[in-house]
Amino acid sequence: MTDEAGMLTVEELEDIRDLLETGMQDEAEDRLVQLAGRLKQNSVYSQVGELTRDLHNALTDFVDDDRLRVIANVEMPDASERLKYIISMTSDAATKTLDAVDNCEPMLHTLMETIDNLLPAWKELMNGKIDRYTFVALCHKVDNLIEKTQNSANDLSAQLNAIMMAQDYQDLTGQMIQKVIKLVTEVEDRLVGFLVSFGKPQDDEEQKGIHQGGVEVEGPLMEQEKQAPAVAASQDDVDDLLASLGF
Amino acid sequence: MDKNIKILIVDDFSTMRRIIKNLLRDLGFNNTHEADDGATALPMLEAGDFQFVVTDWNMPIMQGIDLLRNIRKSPKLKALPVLMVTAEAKRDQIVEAAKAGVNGYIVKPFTAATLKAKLDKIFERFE
Repeated sequence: MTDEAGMLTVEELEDIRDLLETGMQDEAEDRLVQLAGRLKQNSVYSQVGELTRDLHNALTDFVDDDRLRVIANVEMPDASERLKYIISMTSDAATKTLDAVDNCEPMLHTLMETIDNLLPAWKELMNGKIDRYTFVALCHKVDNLIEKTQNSANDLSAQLNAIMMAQDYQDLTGQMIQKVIKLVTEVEDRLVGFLVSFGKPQDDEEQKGIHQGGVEVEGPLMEQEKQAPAVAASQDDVDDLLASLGF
Repeated sequence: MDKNIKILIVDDFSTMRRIIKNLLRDLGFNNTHEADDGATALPMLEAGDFQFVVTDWNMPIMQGIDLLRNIRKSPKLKALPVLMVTAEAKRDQIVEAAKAGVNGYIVKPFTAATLKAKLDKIFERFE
């Protein structure tokens, strides 16, 4: 037994016993109620006090944390810029690639047209039934084809090269995404740390409730998400589902 | 199949519109037009003599599913075939699109062969 303030002491109990023994029933009961009130208050106060102190410390740490300040003021806006830049880089790359494909299209078309044009005379030659006039015309056509093909080959090579070079976005955006992931992970760790200290445990059901609400657009799914039963993982799954609905 | 039919491609990403346009061109469809969301597409459809619509789902302002519902509600457009080409792959969504009266559903990423197969299937039913 200690005499720390608020603790129940033998002396206090002995006082009550003395009161009872001397027939002072009411006084004894009053003392007991008083004692009980003091003890109860003490434990609640001390718990609240402890929590308040911890919360205050944590908030102070949170506010004074220089790293967090840097994250909020510099790195988060920076990450947003990076992500915007990634959108524009991927868009540029797709445009460059599609431009190159568009540039190839007329070359291919001309080549096929030229071949179609000389094919009848070529067939005659192959069947050994060509006349002198057609043969001379064919020679000119073949000569023309060779020249065109040579030029087209150079052009095609340049376009293929452009398609290849447009893929450099993968490396560059990859590095940027890595950086953003690192930041997000750090913020996540800090928030989790904060929640573990003070947040009430949140069960899965509650979290689901926050996310759900009707049929909403989801955007592309990642491989992991495709495993869920509510997801049609492939075009075949989509076709099967539609077939089951009478499509 | 009439290769000269007038087709509207609706997608908010210009690269995806170009890819679909190129694939359709490879399949012989050259009469293609573009819109970047449902709100732009709907007046074009009401005003023009489009015979086919390829639309994305997730777009700003008016989404593909709402474009589809508006098409089915319109007396002029209600019979217009609509092919949805989208990254939305939840079963609920596919069922919702089916209920709204979609004629075909392709999930991105997709191949040229898939697009051809769905077009063939839709036109087979309409001819």
